[in-house]
Amino acid sequence: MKLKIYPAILVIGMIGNSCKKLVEVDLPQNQLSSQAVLSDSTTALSALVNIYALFPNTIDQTFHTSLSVYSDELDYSQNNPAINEFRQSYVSAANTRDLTLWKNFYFIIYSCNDLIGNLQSGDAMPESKVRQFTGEARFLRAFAFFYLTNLYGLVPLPLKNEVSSTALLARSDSASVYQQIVADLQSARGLLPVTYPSAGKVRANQYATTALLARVYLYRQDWAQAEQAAGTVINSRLYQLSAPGQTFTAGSAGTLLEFATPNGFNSSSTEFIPLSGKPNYPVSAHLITQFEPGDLRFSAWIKSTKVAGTTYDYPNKYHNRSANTSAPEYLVALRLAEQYLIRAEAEIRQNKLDAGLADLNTVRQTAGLTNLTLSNQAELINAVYQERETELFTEWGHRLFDLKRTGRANAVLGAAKPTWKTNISLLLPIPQNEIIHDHNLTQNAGY
Amino acid sequence: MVLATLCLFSRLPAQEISPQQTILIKGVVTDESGNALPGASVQRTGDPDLSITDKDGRFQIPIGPIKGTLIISYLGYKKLQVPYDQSSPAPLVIKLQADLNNINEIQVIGYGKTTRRLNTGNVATIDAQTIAAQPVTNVVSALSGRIAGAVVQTTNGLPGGNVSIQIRGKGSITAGTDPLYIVDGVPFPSVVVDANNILGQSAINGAVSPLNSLNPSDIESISILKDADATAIYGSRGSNGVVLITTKKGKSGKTVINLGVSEGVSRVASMPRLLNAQQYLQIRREAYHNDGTVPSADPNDDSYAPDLMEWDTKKSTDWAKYLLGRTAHFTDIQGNISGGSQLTSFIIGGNYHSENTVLTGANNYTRGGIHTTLQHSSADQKFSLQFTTTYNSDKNRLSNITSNFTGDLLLPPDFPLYDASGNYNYYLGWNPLADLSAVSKTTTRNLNINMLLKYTIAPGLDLKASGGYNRIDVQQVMTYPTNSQYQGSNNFSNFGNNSNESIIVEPQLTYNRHIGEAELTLLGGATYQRSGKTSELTQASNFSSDQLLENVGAATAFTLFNSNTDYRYVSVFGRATLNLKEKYLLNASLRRDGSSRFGPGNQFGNFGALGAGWLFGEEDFIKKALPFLSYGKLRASFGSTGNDQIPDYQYLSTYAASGYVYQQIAGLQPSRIANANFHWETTKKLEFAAELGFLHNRLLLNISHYRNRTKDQLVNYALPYISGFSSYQANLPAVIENSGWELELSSTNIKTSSFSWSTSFNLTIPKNTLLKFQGLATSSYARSLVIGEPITRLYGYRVSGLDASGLPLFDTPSGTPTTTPSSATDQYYTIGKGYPAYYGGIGNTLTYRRWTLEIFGQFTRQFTRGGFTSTPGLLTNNFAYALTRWQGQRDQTIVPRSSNDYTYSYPYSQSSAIIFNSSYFRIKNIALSRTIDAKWLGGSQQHLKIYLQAQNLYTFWNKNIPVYDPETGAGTNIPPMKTLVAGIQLTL
Repeated sequence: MKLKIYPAILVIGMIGNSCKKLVEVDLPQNQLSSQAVLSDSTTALSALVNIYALFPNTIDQTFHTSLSVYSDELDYSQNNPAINEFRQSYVSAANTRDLTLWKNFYFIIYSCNDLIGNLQSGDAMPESKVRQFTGEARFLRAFAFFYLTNLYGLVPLPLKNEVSSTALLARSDSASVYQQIVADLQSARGLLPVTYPSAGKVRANQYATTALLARVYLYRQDWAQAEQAAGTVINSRLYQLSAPGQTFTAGSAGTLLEFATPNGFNSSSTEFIPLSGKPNYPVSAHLITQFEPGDLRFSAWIKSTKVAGTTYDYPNKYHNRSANTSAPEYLVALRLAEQYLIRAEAEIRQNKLDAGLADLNTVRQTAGLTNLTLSNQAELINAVYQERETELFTEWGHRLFDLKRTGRANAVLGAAKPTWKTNISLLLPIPQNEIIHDHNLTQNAGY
Repeated sequence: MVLATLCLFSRLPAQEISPQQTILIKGVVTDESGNALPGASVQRTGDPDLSITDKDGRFQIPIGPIKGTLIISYLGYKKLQVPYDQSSPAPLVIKLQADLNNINEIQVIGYGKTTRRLNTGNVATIDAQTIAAQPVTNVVSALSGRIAGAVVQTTNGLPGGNVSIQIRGKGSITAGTDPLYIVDGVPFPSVVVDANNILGQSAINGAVSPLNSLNPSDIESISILKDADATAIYGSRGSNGVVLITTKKGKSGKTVINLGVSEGVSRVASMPRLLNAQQYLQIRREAYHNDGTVPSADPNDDSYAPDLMEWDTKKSTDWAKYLLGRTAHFTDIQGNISGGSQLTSFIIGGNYHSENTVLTGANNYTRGGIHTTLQHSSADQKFSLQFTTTYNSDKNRLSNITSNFTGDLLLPPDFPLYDASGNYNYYLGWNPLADLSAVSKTTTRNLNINMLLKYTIAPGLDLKASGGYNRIDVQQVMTYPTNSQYQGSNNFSNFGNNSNESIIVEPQLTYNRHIGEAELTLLGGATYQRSGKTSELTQASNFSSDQLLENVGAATAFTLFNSNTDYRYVSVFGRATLNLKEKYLLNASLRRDGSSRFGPGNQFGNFGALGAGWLFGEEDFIKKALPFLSYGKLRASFGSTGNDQIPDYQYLSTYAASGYVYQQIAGLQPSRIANANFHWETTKKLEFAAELGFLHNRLLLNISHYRNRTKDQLVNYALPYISGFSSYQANLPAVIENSGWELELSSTNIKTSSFSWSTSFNLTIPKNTLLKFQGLATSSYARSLVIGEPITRLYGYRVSGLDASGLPLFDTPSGTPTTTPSSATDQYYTIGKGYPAYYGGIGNTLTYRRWTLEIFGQFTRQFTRGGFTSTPGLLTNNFAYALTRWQGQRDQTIVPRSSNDYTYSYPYSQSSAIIFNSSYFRIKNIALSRTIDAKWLGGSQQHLKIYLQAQNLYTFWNKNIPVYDPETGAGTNIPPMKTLVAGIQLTL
């Protein structure tokens, strides 16, 4: 009769205090508590570099192709409906790529917010690391907000990960997006040293921050500050313009920040460079005509392939289309040539025409072109625009954003594409999912 | 109450020792053919004590009065009253008659058995015979249409595809709505292997359902528990209903060998009706004509139309036929041996099943396994043991056209597979030849072991302990060779390994006692369950050769993910059942559960129910007043159950490896938005039912009305991505009501010695309503949910008609229809309910001598979203429905004119205009069989059964609507199959 006693004990035992223990589980082996991660400099670094890794691993997969076909740089030789909408510059609110862009940037912001203000200094985390990591996170948050606002207009600004408030955010007002970006960048500039925190240029330093700040001032038409910030970067003498053929190799002298790729190639390169057959994204006839004869960038950055008797040009700034560890390529985020062009434009706008012309010609010389001798402000501005187009094509949406910030988008793209919708096409629609789940969000006009 | 129950138990053994009498009456209880019935209960009227027959059916009972009456009862047999007279010395021989009346059939319930007559809860049962008549690979499919209140849906027609079952409506917006599956007492993980979780990508057959690894022929019965009374004993896991699967057990007696072989063929039950080449090209030309443009052969021209200007318009391919036009074959072999002595019995069975698919490519599915059960009892019947082991393994190889299945199906009929330079034509972004070369291979291994020990401490008092172990391993390899992808993409493979291990121990005490005219049954028990799951995923790419895609060592770039979870669960439960005079029934159950899925302080929850039944048909005044009524019961139940089908660790704020490596540093990223506050959700279930039998129970009618209210539902609370994630685990501050009527009717229309005809019918009318939602207007659901409407509500744009030029007019809140609706304000109209208006099934069984014919039909009245995702004229094929487009006259149609303008295509595809009446009546199953005596093989039991079966033979529905199949809808799901099977079964 022993048999009957044991289960009875078991039953009674369960009713008692031991019940709670029976349903307690340890943390799974593959997860760490947030508090532990943020109070140890090793794990906090893992959390920080993951944000950098998100750019080559998530953003690059849709950003560069989508934005280049949205403007007039690249054609699209296929007919994938989601990409086609970008090519026609009228994207529906349910477009999957539209949502991907949005959610990837907001996840970067969430990851940054988790670090900013939550890093705990202590035995395992010196105060210096808290400053360093916070500075980098603020830079990355500003970087993400910069793209969001240029794509979608007045976007919501989650600055703290509190779901009760972030889930219901409305759009920010017109002043605060750029105010926030500038505040983050200024703070980062103060926190970050001029040296890179690790080998290469794969994490932000003070100059990378200043370079992005220069671009922000340019977009805000704050010419004096733009000139000054770009000047700081140029005058640091840490960077040199490099020949077009070398600009995009990892660690190139002309770059300020590169997002390291996991296997030495960019995922957008796989889209741009054809393995065989027609390229998916041929360079548009318009962009070809923007290059002057003898431009080294044309020969270094654009390649052609002949398929069934027809020649197609494709962007070839990056050469690796699959794993390459001996000659890796990283996703270049900021480069010196842009700083020269920012300063040139800012100077010309302030009527410092000679200084502006000199900066413009510095870039032209690197490209193997002769110096320009213009003296008319409007002509000079147009020369900068053209230079920006040939220098920065297929990089980070520069062409589209330049057309928008200078007020030329409706005229230029409207003429190039019958499907362009005046004013409406200037902004992408807020993704459907966001409109449905956040009733405080308003949609951009026309969607 | 549990404690009280336990205390009661502990006092009981004392009473058993008391009888001092030496005078005994002896007897033996047998069935009609004289076989002993061990375990029958024998009781003298007026005496609370019971006597149980031994292995030879013998009993002896101490008697008081010299003369009296004995009551002999045995589940599944008619209760018998026998007078005795102590003066006659001969032992009594009592023959019990099997009770073939189905209200007295045994019904398996949670932690026990009862009969339909005495059940106070709502339980529906399907027996082995019904399962055997249906050539299904997934046993859940066999329930389709046969259970009132349960929607069984083949979500994917391919082998291994998931079959979902939803009992009494959708109580949850996003959390699991799967019922709890219990196989021989062990919880069975029904949805562990969503390929999305292990591979980040589903295979073409959708989520892999472990239920596929159960062999339908091993199953003795399936019970579906629905109301509070039946499900509350499963407490926190009973909200979505419980499916109890009982496997076959051996029977003592002569050794019997069963062998069965069947062969079958399947085709897609209904092929999508698409435009043919001529219709397609005409609509395309019309688009250019309507737009005032001219199709161009220049790729840089905005009017570039390769399908009209470049491709060979005389060539035409029916892509539906190309992809799904094959005939699949299947072979099924089953065999088992059963037998044993009075004390020990066994069954050992093996099975093998092989089938290929209708899908183009080298696809096949094989399953094999063994099932054994051993039962033993001690000579005094006090101790018994039952041990069951089932092992099944299946392998599934499929061409994995997942991502582009719909796209491939809707390719223009003149689409050439190769372009001018001999490469795959990728103009539309995909290519069926390429897609078909991606392969998914899945191997599932499932081991289920359980053991039940029982010891009878005293008559009526049993101590039981059941223990179970379940292990499911799923290995999946998906290969994407270079030529399966967009030209120039790198080849890659996904390797997934998922294993799920679960142990459960459940000690129980049951006590059964007659007190006067009352029978009291008590149950007390406890549960301890622990489950661990580990998943590993390797995404490997840049293989040196496409031949080496299954060799992870040949890859040059990797991303690795792994996860493991630990789940623990403890409970105590108790139940008391009172049966007074076989007329008044009362059942109370209580359960306290703790689950590791909840954060500290929220782990425990209490659940319970009360059920009552009144067999009013047994009352004399009813018998007099309503002589035609042979059975009448009214029952009601009320109680609360829960649901803990949520992922583990959702209350913890953690970081996990992202799989990304940045300059030799492995990245960590936030796992989720943690919520420390979520707690149990509860469903309050209420049911009223009437069960009636007429004409000696030849006509049985059940009517039930249920009302389930779910509160604090656990959901993946939807969030905008602005918050960083698309959802987090939370309680929805809402009350959702699922209510409805269920009707079940069964009748024996004709019964003679050589011919019988019976009919069964069931009907369910469900209703779902969102009753309350605290702060709805300021929540994430402000735009998607409406109080008073179903939570399954379909919403979208509302098309009121076409304008003079054939463009769709969308309603706006301001009242002025527009052709350019706003995604912010104009897409929140209710356009459908999201669940059927009613559904059910009707079956007829005809038997003539040795012939049996069963015909079963299933019906549903519903309005569902069609697959009309592109308006006519775009560069994509369409459903034949596009033929009804606007063509100049402002006629009846709401299908817009043909045009290349895609801007209204999306809102149109999300509008009321693509909600269609997809009601159907499907002849689900026809089975014809004939039994042949095989005495020539020697012996008397030998017989041979030959049969023909057809599944999904024909469906009545409006075939003109743009839906692949009314059952699976219009998504990427492969429609169900039409199957014909011939088989033989030999019993030796």
